[in-house]
Amino acid sequence: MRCKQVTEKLAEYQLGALDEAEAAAVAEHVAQCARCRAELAALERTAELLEPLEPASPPRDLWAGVKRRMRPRRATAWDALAMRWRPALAVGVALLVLASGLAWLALRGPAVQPSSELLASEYQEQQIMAQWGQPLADDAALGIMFVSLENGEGGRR
Amino acid sequence: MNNTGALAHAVHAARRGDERAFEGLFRAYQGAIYALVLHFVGDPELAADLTQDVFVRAWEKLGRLREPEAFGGWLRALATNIVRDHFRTARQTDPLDESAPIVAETEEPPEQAATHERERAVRAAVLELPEHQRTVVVMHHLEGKRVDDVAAELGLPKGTVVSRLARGREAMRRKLARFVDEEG
Repeated sequence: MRCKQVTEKLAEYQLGALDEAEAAAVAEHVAQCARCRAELAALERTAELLEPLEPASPPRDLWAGVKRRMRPRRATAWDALAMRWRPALAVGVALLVLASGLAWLALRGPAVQPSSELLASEYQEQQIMAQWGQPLADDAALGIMFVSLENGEGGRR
Repeated sequence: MNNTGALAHAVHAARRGDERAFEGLFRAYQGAIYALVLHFVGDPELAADLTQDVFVRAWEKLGRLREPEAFGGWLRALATNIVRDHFRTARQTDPLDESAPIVAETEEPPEQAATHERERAVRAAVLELPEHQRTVVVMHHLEGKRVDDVAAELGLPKGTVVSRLARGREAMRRKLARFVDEEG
């Protein structure tokens, strides 16, 4: 190992974080190289300079001062969303996945042919599905799902 | 507060505005934060004021904490940021300014003055570290926590903690060259 490689690994070596082979290579180099040995010693002295905290007990009345300055806070928009709408979000995601699958199936099918035999709602549905590549198409698909569910047609497909 | 589930629950509740939950967090962490702040400022009264600032700011910014389990590390980062801000604005006691005393200036014997100067430089070197390195250096070196415990408390892989410690130690070694080189 060269000095540059060793220097880059000295801090990890000192922390015992190198694997066995790397640690052995660094140790071997350091034993023979005065410069790297001095650098390792300097790192060790740096760590020694960091004195541990002394135990200290905070004053008893700290909380009163904190509480006096605390303004009532509302949950953030994210918190509110996460806590209140988590179940709804889960359902929404599930519906989105389902709608995506349905849309994919619809796009694979034959070209949409308006027919007087089709029910109006089915025709409308096919038209929306045919425009899947357009913006908001996923919203449209979700809308169809919600309408279906509201009409009790969730199992129609 | 070792139970991470209870910690996360308390943090979630406090984020929703539950002051009692936040008081529980305050009770659990006030000792560690006060000791940390006192270490840097050396004045119990100032440390008490700044500790209060830390918790007030934590209350205000709690919504930004994405990982509730990392509350302890986040709080320490807030504390060291507040200490650093304090020294930056209060120039007369600025440890980043090497001409400034960390406590009230007195006539000191040269040896004692040299010790104080070194201590001041070490504390400044810690405060100048990037936040992610500073937090692990504080927890491992100043608070004496094992690397595994730091990793668990911060919700980080052990390797990440080791890497941050290593880079932090290298940065401080460069900043403190005149102390670590001359003693060699």
